[in-house]
Amino acid sequence: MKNTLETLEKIQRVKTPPFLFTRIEARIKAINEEVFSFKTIAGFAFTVLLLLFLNITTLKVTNNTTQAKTSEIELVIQSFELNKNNQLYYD
Amino acid sequence: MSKNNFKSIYDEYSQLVYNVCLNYLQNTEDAEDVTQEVFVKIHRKLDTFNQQSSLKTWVYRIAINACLDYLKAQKNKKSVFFSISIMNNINVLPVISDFNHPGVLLENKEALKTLFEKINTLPVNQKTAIILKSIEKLSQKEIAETMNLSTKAVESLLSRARKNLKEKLNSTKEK
Repeated sequence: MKNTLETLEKIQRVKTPPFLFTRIEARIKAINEEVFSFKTIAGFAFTVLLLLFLNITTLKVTNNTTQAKTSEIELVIQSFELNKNNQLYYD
Repeated sequence: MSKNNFKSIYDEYSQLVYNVCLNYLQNTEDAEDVTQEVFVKIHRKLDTFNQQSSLKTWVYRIAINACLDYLKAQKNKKSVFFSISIMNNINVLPVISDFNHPGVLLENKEALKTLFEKINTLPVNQKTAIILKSIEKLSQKEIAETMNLSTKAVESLLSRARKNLKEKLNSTKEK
């Protein structure tokens, strides 16, 4: 057994292949180019969320104003006993 | 540690990483691929290296983990391929990378090929311990640091690995 394991010690050290560093550099560069940084992603997400929030708020405010306006008009119609019907001629 | 030191780390440890990968994978192309992967990881993690362990231990750990990930990925790829071939009723065995280790002299090639075949069937931590001890010639303390174990655990791991290896080699001889 000892002899068998000793054959492992006969394995020689091997030099690294030429241009390996250039290939590693190219790989690192490619990764850096294709991956967006965390800051970019966070900034984009924040902008989208802000736009969504502004949209929802604007929609809510517009809805409330329309409802208030409608109820005021209805109050005037009721107090002057006006006809809500748009038909001008009666049968 | 800053990324400006990357080139000097490569100069100091590239041979070590390439040889560990060769001893783990026994194939030059696979070893070269994984060596590239290791240095990409080192470049990415260099800022987070906290110097609690030595740089050499840290590099060893990354190299071994990369080899294990590579073997796991290969195994998964093969098992998918194998299951597809079974489903299609084609009698194809999973492809095994050729034994291609330039550090092995021609006169020892057959003996070492057989030995590596047996080492490759050992549990992962036993294989790692054997490679680090017998080929990389690390001390038990260095192996313990690299594998995140106590020196006693490494000692018992090595004795179990030797015992297992002996049994596997004997069973081959009997056949």
